[in-house]
Amino acid sequence: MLTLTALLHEPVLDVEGRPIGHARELIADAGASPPVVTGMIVGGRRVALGTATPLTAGDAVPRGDLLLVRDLLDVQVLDRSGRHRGRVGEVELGRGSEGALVVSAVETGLRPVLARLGLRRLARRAPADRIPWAHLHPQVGRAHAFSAELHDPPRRFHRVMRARRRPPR
Amino acid sequence: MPVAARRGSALVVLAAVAGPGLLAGLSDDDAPGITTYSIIGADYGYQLLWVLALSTLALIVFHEVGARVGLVTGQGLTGMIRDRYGVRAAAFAVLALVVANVGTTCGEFAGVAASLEPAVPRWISVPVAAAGVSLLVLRGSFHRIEHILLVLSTVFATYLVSAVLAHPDWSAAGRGLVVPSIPLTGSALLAATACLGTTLAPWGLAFIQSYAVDKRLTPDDLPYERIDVCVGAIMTGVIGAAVVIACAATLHQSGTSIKDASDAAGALRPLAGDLASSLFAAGLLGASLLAASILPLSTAYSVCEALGDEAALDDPFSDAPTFYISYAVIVCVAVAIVLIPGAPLVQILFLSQALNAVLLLPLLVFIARIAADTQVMGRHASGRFASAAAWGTIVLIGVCVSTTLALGLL
Repeated sequence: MLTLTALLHEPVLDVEGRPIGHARELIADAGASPPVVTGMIVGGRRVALGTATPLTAGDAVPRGDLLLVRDLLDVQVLDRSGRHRGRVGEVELGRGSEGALVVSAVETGLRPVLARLGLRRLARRAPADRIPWAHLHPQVGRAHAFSAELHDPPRRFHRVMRARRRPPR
Repeated sequence: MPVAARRGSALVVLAAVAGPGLLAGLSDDDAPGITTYSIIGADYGYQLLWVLALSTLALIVFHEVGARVGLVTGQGLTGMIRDRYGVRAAAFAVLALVVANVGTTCGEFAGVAASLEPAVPRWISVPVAAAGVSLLVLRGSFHRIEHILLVLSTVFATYLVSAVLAHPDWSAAGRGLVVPSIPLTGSALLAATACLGTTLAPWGLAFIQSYAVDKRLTPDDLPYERIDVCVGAIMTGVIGAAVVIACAATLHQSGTSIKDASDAAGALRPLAGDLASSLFAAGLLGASLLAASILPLSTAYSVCEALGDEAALDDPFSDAPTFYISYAVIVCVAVAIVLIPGAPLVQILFLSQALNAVLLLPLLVFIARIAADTQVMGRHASGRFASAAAWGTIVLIGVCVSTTLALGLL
């Protein structure tokens, strides 16, 4: 599984295999569903994904208005009643129908936070909730928030499971 | 609409909106706050009143900024820091907030101990108070006693009367208020730093933003919220100034330095005579218990918000372990520090406030930057004047803290 924060730590190479820096931001086309990653920002310049070469003046700027670090990572997730349900701790990337890199899901909870702080041992035992992209909607009129269709909030789901495991009286 | 009716509706809205500024401001007059102001008055007379005036201005500037960010973004302080600057910056802010709040919570429990000693030894009063406030807060009946504690802590308003009855030198007080001067000694700088740290407390900044969010206030409420912030901050400053003036006119005149709570109570003698100690103890106890209830709660909320693991008081432990563990750790560490045999209570109260000023700096930088960020705040972003006031305050506190640190006093 490819994640946004892991990708940001990897060096970006040009077509000749030379490192050109680290990506500080990933650009996605929010018009597509799920959003297709079209490029990245390396050293303050926009680089189109697939060409693997730094853009020079006059090149086409990658399409897209969803900046994954700025607009998605660490923003709050609300449920449909407006109640806070966590923050996006990690963005999961996958392959779309034509092999394009797409945003497939987000992860909330303690696990991604601890992993990003370098506390990987603790992270392995910490809880996390995965929300598929299809269940996420940008909050209208509120920047930096997404609402999610969380019909069964995961914690309550676990509680129901525990209750069902009790032996019948 | 008739003018009278419009005025009437404006007052109704103001009454509905008021709260965050008043509570966050008045809660600054807690046990460490009163102790710090008492020490300033007893040791330096009226000379450092200007520091309190500047601190009050800084309080207005940053409480307005905090409330505005809360109203516009609908998020608390640490959550907003994570949103804009990522998880590491949020972890750093939470660490600063936890250290500062543990220090101040120590101050609150030291206030409980000081108000009841020698009648009740601290190894009984402090654990009982800690268990009591924890039960009340976590069992959800906190709101019932909140008002009683608030009324009890208004005993400190008696300083206003005491300050007048002590026949202070009003011209010297006026001079001290507007003419900046400070003895060039380490302890005077430490006192000025503690005054800034207690008036503009880190937990107050987190609290006002979270409380504004909790009240579901919107940007439309901003004009009323500004009045709320100004009234709360000015009341804090006036009570603080009354404490300094009362102590300057009584303790400073007689050359008394404050070593324990009974020394500080001496400033209430012109008003209460022999009852001064009891009156001071009652006020100290009420203010300490109120702040000791709010502080761990506010800190636990900040921790959970940064981790994206928000919780409510009615959640069971299995659903909100981060919340309950944060709360318990803060209370237990604070109680353990106060119970160290021979721990100097007044020194703990005073130094915790100087530490506040140090840890305040990174938080203020985050708040000032978020408030000026047009991507987040839109048309409510800080303008040139508000930004200049915020950064001016940060530089002032930075100079105070770095000079005090350079002299090796912290």
